[in-house]
Amino acid sequence: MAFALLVVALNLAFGLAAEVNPRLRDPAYGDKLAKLQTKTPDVLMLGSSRTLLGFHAGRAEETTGRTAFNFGTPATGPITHLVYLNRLLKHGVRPKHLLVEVLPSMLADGSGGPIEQAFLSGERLTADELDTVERFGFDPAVVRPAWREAVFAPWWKLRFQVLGRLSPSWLPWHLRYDWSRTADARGWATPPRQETTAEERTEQLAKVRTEYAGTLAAMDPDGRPLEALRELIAVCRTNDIPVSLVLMPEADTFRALYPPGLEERVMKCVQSLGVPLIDARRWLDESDFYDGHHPFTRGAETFTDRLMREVLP
Amino acid sequence: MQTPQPVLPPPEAPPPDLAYFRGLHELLPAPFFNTQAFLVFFAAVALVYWLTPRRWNTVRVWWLVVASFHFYAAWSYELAFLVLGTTVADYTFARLMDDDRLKRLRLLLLLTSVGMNLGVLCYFKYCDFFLGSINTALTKAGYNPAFAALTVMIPFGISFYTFEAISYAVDVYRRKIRAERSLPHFVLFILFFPHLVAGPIVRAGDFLRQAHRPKRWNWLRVQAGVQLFLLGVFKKMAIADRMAQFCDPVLAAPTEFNTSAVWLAVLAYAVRIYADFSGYSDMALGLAHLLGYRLTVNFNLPYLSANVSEFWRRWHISLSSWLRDYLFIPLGGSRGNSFATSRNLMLTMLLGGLWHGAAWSYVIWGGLHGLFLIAHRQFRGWCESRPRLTAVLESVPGTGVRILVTFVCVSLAWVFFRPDVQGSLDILARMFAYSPGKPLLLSNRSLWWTVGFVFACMWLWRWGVVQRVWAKLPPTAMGGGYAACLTAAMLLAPPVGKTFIYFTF
Repeated sequence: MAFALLVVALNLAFGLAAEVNPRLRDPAYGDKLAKLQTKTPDVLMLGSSRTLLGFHAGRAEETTGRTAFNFGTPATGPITHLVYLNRLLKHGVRPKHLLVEVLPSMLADGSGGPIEQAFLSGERLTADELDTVERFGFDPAVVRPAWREAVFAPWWKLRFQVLGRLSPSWLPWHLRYDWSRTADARGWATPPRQETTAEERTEQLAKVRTEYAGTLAAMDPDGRPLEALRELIAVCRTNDIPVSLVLMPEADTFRALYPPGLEERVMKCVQSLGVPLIDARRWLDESDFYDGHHPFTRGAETFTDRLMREVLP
Repeated sequence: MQTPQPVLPPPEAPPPDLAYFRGLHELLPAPFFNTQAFLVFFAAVALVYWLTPRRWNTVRVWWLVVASFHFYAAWSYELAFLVLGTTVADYTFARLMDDDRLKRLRLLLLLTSVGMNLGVLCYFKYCDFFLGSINTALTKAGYNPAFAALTVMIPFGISFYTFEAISYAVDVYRRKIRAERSLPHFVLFILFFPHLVAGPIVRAGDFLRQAHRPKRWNWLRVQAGVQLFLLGVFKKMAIADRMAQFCDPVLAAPTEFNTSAVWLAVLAYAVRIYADFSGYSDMALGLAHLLGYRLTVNFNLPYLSANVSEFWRRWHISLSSWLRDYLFIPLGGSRGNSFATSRNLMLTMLLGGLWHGAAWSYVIWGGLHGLFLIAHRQFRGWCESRPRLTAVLESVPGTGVRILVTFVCVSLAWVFFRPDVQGSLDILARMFAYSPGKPLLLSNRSLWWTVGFVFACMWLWRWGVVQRVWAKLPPTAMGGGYAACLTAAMLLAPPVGKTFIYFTF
């Protein structure tokens, strides 16, 4: 009897704690929020791993004297950014200028739903966020059971979040959930390498090709993720938050993966949203990237300096 | 509690094509004890079982037979009917053997029963192995054999229930036990779902006596059952599946990894096999306790054995005692001279190896253990005339060294405990010749922590510390311990659950 009660109590306690504390449920978000020292940064940027490694917010502060924060988290797109923006507003964070990265591959929408569904799993969401993600194509049969498991058996469903905090080396990199925790005080993650050999570069580019070529070849950017981006902009307007979209730098080798016409279609879709667009795709050289789209520190610095010049008057 | 989509033992079962069994397959897609579907199934079975009045023992037995059949049929109903058919035939042969009017036919009936069981085992498990071996040999000799592999699906647990049926027939023939008169009781002996898939290999005399005894609900027994089940879940999810993350990538492609990674992977594999199989056995014992049955204990701290003979008295005890009683002793055991004993040991271990899997690597594994046993026997004889050496070896440090040497030998033999001889040779080559390559994919530190934890637990158990502390704990603290065990199992489970290694045997 004591066993059954304790199992229920342990799960209930953790389930409740995870509902209240986003660092337990979604450390990618919660750890960034914990680093945010002001609720009204001058510039806050939402984005993917490209932003996480590319927007050197600390440097931006040093060079401009304005507060900046990097809210980039790996494998995210418009739907995650919408969820995160809503959470930030709920937590009282109101940036004076919001930058939102547009990762073209994350605009892909198909019969299987948006790509983000594979990364923003149900256990990272709260109950009211389920409706949001389902409106943009997340499969309720996938996302709701995962959320329920996180509520009723959190020690099971949130085990990587917990273990990733207690002992990250016990987990493979993609399950550690420590990307935000290991970032600097302004949310920027120092790129793990500053140089690569020709062999490593070839290997990385082959990996990138495997990850992206198929998606880019078949994608239509005018789908539900674009709708999520539209809603994100509407939320910003409602809350009087100026917003700009950013197309992050890409090397020529990466852009070669786009099939003919796709870049133009992406541009057309993004321009139709009616907010300023910063097209940074060609701001960096091939040698500034580790793998064609994630920059080294020198690339991050070059990008950040120019971005701040473009954003701030 | 759930595991993340465990993979069925190869070859995977196709979805049954009859609607009833297809539905059953969807309800219970895999015969794994640590899945949500199985726990629901077990809860329903146990509820009906214990709600049935005690005096209706035969109804309870029938209920367990029906449940066990469905447990197997959810995976493959054709094979479930096959097992049922051979079981009914074994029952009939034994009844006829026990009939005084058919005294002259007893040996023939025994041979028929054993032949049928071995025939089924050979057809399903070894046919492709033998055909493939002949094929390879003929091809190498320059012929072009026209026959191809049959690619039949191996029924899970076939090696286990075949041995149970054979031991029953032999025991009836030797008049060690009387033939069972009740068909449902006998069918339950073979099909009882906690031991059906991967043992322990139960003996008819032991099980049938329990099956006939009406069971009374007993809280202590329930506690023991839950304790064993949770221990098994912890071993499987937190240790075995975690170790698989270290060893599987290396054993699959050893030539890509450096020497130290391969050594660590072999260490992880040794711990994994133990935690996987003993974890399964603990779960089986726990489930049986929850239904009022006691199964044979299968493991007794085997990695603390001081020699290989002791290892085999502590590892897979139900199999090693079966091999001893029905193979080694009938072959002559240790009654003859040194050569005859060595020959019997080697034959027993070679067949024991082949029992594990239809591949030459398992035969090599059995052969290595045969060699270890023979070497140990010779060494022991040599030491008998050297009391000083014996005293040193039996001292605490000497025992420590013997345990270490035994563990290293057993771990090296595990390299062949997989169906790929060339892969095993690659691993050994990598281990004994310095080779550069990738390190382990996960941090070595977590491997050492887990291995250290496993061995620390085994030592604490051997010294009786665990038992002494456990006996003094108040019920609330014990409940807390179980809850912590379950929570730790859930927390430490890797992203993908693994098939139980012994399910493939």
